[in-house]
Amino acid sequence: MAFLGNLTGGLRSLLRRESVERELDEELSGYLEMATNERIKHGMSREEARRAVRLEIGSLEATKEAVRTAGWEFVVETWWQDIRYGLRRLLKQPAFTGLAVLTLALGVGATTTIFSVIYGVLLDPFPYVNSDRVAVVQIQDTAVARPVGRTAFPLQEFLEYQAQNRVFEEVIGGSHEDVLNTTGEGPEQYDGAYVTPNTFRFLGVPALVGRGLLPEDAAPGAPPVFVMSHKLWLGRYNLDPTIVGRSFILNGVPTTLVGIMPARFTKFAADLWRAVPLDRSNPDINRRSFRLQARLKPGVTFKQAEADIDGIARRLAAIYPKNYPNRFRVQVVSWVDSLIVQFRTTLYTLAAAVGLLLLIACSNVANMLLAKATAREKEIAVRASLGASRGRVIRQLLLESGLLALCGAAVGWLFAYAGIKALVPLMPVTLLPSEVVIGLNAPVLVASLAVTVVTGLLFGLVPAVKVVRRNVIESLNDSSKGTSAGRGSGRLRNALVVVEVALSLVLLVGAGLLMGTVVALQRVDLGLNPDHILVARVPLPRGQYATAAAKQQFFQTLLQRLHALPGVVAAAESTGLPIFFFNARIAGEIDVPGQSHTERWDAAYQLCSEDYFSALSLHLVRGRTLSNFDVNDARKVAVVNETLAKRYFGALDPIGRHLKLSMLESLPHGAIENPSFEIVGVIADVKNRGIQEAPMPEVLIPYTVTGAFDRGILVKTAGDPGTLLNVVRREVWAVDRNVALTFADTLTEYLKQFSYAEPRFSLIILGVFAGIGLILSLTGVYSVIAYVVSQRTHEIGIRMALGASRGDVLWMVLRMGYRLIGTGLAVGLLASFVMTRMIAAQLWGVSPHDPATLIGVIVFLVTAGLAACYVPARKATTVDPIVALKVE
Amino acid sequence: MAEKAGDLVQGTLDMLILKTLALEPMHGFGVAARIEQMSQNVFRVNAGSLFVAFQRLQRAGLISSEWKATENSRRAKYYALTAEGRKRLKSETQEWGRQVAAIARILEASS
Repeated sequence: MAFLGNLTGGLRSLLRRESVERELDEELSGYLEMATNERIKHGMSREEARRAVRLEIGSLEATKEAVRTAGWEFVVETWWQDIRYGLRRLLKQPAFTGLAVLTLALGVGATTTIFSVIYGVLLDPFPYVNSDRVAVVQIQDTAVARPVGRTAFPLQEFLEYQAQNRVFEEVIGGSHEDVLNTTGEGPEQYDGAYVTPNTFRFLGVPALVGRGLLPEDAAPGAPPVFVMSHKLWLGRYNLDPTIVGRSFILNGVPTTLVGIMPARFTKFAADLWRAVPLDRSNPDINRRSFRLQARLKPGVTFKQAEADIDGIARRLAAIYPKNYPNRFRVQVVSWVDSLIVQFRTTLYTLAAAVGLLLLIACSNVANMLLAKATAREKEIAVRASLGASRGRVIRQLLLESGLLALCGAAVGWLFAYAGIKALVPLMPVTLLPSEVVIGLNAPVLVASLAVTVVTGLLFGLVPAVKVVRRNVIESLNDSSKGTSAGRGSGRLRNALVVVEVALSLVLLVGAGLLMGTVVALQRVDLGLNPDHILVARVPLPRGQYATAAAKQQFFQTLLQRLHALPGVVAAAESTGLPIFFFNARIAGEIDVPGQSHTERWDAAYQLCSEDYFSALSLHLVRGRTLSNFDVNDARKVAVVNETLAKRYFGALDPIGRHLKLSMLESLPHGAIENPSFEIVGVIADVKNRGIQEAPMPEVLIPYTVTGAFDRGILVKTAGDPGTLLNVVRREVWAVDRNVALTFADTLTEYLKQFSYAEPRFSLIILGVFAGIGLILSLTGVYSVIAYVVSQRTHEIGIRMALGASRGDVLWMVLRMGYRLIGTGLAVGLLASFVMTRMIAAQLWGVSPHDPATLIGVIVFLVTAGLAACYVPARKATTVDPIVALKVE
Repeated sequence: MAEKAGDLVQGTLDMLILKTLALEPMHGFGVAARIEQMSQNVFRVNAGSLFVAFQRLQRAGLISSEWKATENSRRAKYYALTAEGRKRLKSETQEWGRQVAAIARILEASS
């Protein structure tokens, strides 16, 4: 009640100011009148009475002021006054305001952009329940430098991890499967996924239409059902809700669509999901592998889980030695980390970089405000002498910087909007969870606003305190003879410029090192020519193409047709994608009869047709490559790479010797008895574990020796391989209507996505930040020097009158500038030694202290600094001594 | 914010205004004159403090105001006690009595 009265009373005097004033006037003059009358009644004259009353109650204005300032609305009003005053001042100097707002907007915009990426990728990557407690188990080969490992397990191992662990609340699993949808209009190939029955319950996202998969869907005798992704629903079925409940022929089985998931539910990036029972007696399911994910029990940390799972993995490695590398490490990491690997450190680096950029922007604005502050001292002294309290003056100054910061933030958000638009296509999408959405959302804007407030205080406080500390009288006495004006503030401004130069140096060094990394990656000798190569997987319908002969029949026909196409130089069958280890790359045990060794020997297996060698321009070192006779007759011959020859044969000549490809013995389908292959050739190494890893031993054999494994094709074209894609698709359909290509892309595109995208992303962002930082700090240098020159025109005039030459003056100003830049460089070098350690993990092929980069950056900064100092220095030399001395 | 209340004991102005208005609604000068008169000119009421107090009390809902004609047929703002104000006056009076008695005991004990 009291609160309400206070509120309405205050609002009334705020909003209906005039009538409230009039009422108070009338009431007070009534009071005066009555008091006067009272005295007259006691015998005073009217004049005497009036004077007595005035004496007694003081001036009417003071009373009114007392009433006016008593309520809370007075506080609001003074704030409003100060805000209006601040806005007027900012608008009166559009050049200053514009520059300050632009500077801040660059800082806030960059910060907001990076934060929205961090929020999208690290803080809120998944739409699933408690996804930050979901762990992924990785078995990492210690011989591989990159911290990634196997995350999928054969069903029997999956079940053992599920049963034996003491750290997981619930375990889910599943993986990709090729799904062929047979329709009246022809077959369609989808990227499907099979999941354990509890998966949808575990993820906890309700379906958009219909329902998700239920544990009952995998029960024995349950009708086959599937759930569709939003992407497929939109792209293929135009968001038609009536398709739910319809039956589809998936891989030959009539399957009912029971639901459609929302857009952000993209588990396994699949088009559709089916549940499989964890039934070891079903041979089809028993040979599948499951990517294991599990929610940690409450209170269990990832490290504790790692220790528990490590024990199980060691036991399982003893039982299934072929599934584990000789030496391995078990890592239990969060779901997001298992996907983005070291992109987290990349983002942290970018956050640090954007922090530096924001600091530069703040220093720059603080610098501008300091220059203004010197000019404002008199105005503030006047305000102070008219009764403004020190607090009110500081408040006024902080308010103005706050207003600047808010304007900067508003413009900065526009920058961020554009920045995110520009950045998202640059993101290394293959590294990101497909669920990630990056945009300007509420948490991002709140964080950005908080940053803005802090920066506003940061760059506003220094000049504010400085101004207020100055003595009022001193400022008022100070005439325009500003020869020694702002000596103290000069020192502060110099320090700010030094900091800016130092921070720019750190940013430039970071960008330079990343550039070195990108160049080094692009210079890696791949061992093959990746240009004009089209690669694709060819998922063959199950059953029909199980035997080696059936596969040979299919590919022989297909390769012949592809050869006949105009623009095709070579066409080959290829089980794996060259260069990379994923996408059906096969590796397993091999042995060399007669060589004794204690550890298991492994090699990558490449099954291919004869054109594989010419299509990729592989370099033959000894012997010969596979011939079409080898392939057509499925001869047991092999070509090995130099690493294999060196590691397993040492000084012996491998040509004519035999390799035992033990892995082929133990295949569930298409196993080869006595897999002894004669070595006919040695090729130069080709990257086969990604471009940053040394190649592993590799053996290339005719693809016709077994019917096992998923297959693909590789086409070398004369022109742009992308344009041939649709022609190639048609040829595949011409051979078999039920086969459709998947993962079709050019090899260079794969390289770009998987090997270059991440460092390039960091490089572009860091490069842009370094560029902005450089421009800001150069304007900082320029403005300080120009200001000093303008302050010292008088002194320069005297010097010139006393005989200093133009060269002397030029040198004097340049020296001043170089003292700042030099100090900045020294500080920056020290800082960069510390900072480059942060990005060491992202560097490759370049040392964090690469001298060429450091020297290049320093030379660059010194030259750019020269330009910034030269303009004001030049101006100083044009000072006419007579005019300069006359001015005052 | 509170001005020094003339010769008034600190913090008692509100209570005295409420007491004065308890008898009958009155305008500003009337309240001031009444307080001076009842205290036999011991207390002087400063006009500034008085009107700030009116504003405060009114916003707290303890008094209400209304423009009325005076006995000399001038227009004046008359303040009146609300039910809330009456309650407050009662509790403040009791509290005041308790405090005065306590202070008196302390002063007597130490003399």
